[in-house]
Amino acid sequence: MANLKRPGGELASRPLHFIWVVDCSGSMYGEKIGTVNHAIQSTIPEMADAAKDNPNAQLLVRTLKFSTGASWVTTAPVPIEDFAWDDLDAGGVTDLGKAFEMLAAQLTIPPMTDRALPPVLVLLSDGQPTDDYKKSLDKLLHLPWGKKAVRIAISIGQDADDDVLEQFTGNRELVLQANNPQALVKMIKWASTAASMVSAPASRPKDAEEFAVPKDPSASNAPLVLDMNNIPDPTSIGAGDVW
Amino acid sequence: MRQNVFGRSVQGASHIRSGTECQDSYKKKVCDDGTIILSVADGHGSKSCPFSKQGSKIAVNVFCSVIENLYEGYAGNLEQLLTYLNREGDTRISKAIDAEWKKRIMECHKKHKREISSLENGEEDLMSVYKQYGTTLLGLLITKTFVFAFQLGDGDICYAHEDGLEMVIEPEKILGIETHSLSRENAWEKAITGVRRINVEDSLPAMFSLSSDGFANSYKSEDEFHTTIIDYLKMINEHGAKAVEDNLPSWLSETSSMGCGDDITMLIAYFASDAIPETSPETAEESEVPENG
Repeated sequence: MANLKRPGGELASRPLHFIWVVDCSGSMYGEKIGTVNHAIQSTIPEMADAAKDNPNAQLLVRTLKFSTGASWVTTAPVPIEDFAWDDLDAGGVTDLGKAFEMLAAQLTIPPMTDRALPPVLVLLSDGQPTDDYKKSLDKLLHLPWGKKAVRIAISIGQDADDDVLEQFTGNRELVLQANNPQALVKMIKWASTAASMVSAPASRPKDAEEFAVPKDPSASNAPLVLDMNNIPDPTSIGAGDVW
Repeated sequence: MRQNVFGRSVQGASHIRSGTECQDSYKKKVCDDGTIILSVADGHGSKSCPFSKQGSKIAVNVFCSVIENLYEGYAGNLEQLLTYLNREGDTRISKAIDAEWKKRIMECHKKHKREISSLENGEEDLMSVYKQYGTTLLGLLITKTFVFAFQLGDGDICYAHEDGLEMVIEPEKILGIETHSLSRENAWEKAITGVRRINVEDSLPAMFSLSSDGFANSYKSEDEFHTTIIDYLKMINEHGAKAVEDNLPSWLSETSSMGCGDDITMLIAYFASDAIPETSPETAEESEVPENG
């Protein structure tokens, strides 16, 4: 048999976009933003190691910060092996709606491609939105990739608006409670593992019964690629030290 | 005109890493008069579908069986068959495939003495059984004057010829990792069918390909995927069907490894003029797919 060179076009692993969406409003000042900076930074090597185990997905990471307005910390998605965390500062109000608007712009096709894996969005917030977030959240959740995204929220402290965060995740279980630094670190670490779970998915029937959780049509079943049985129990983490 | 029909399934790179079997199946049937029936099925790999390999085997057998029976029933009256397929392809034919698959799944399930859960009213929960065998299904009937294509779930059916590439039918594209499935209730409603008058002799050499979604998903873009299908045709023209068939497993494995990591199946029907000598003769024949293996 003659060994012939494989014909055809350019091959590529499937892109997996992982986006940290971080509340940098004034109420995050001090220990909260410091913990976020430290915890996310510490997850990067673990995410990179996990990504190496699956060369068929290209993990692309970026950060969106919001306070008075919102902005991308990195202008383009960065491969996890090249990703470096830039410490964030806190100050200003909580323009969550602006953040949703900027997310929606990036989850549109293009710049997203239709062959990507479901993106992972991790929102961290400790407060109430100060702008009109509903319209931009609605737009985000009605985008094809907005619906399919794995959406996780980390509710920091007791002043966070869990109802708003639940509107984002579409699933109360995916609003992770972090009422102290230890819990925040654990929740960030758990959220970071979503990348590896999404990166090696098996195909499944659309709207299969066990995935048909959402009551809201905009809510996605994509989060259920996650193993929610191992979400850290917030009540067992540093209960004596509450924000 | 001569024709070659061949295909291969390979275990995906990510399935090799995880020790998961290839859940794709394919079947080819060449009738005495040269009519060809092709089918590819891609079993879902999710944990809730542990028997999807059997589901995909049964699916390709069902398609070939239903279409062959139909074809024989029309006894060579292609115009009447075309009219029937045009009118009933996405209703009666799709319903027949859906029903036959579910019937055979239940037979297989009972034969293996697998558990059947009960509904609250005490009846057997049939849907929970079907779900364990979930699969997609692609099918193509190629006659002298037309082709009939069937698609339920993801994958691609292409027609490549010297003037370029055409998608035989345009399936609904679902983002992410979900797909339509034969395991769903009224699955036939999600089937897409198409009948096209194509006389392959008019534009030889030509090629039809059926591929599971792991193939297209391994390319950087849809354009790259289309380019690849045309390149496969050129490769057969240049090196012969046998050479391409021999190399196909390694090409598909490399494609999965450098691409999306999924199982890949490629099934090809190639047509060329008798005037062009074949590099290495190959006779197409029916591939039997045991369902209960």
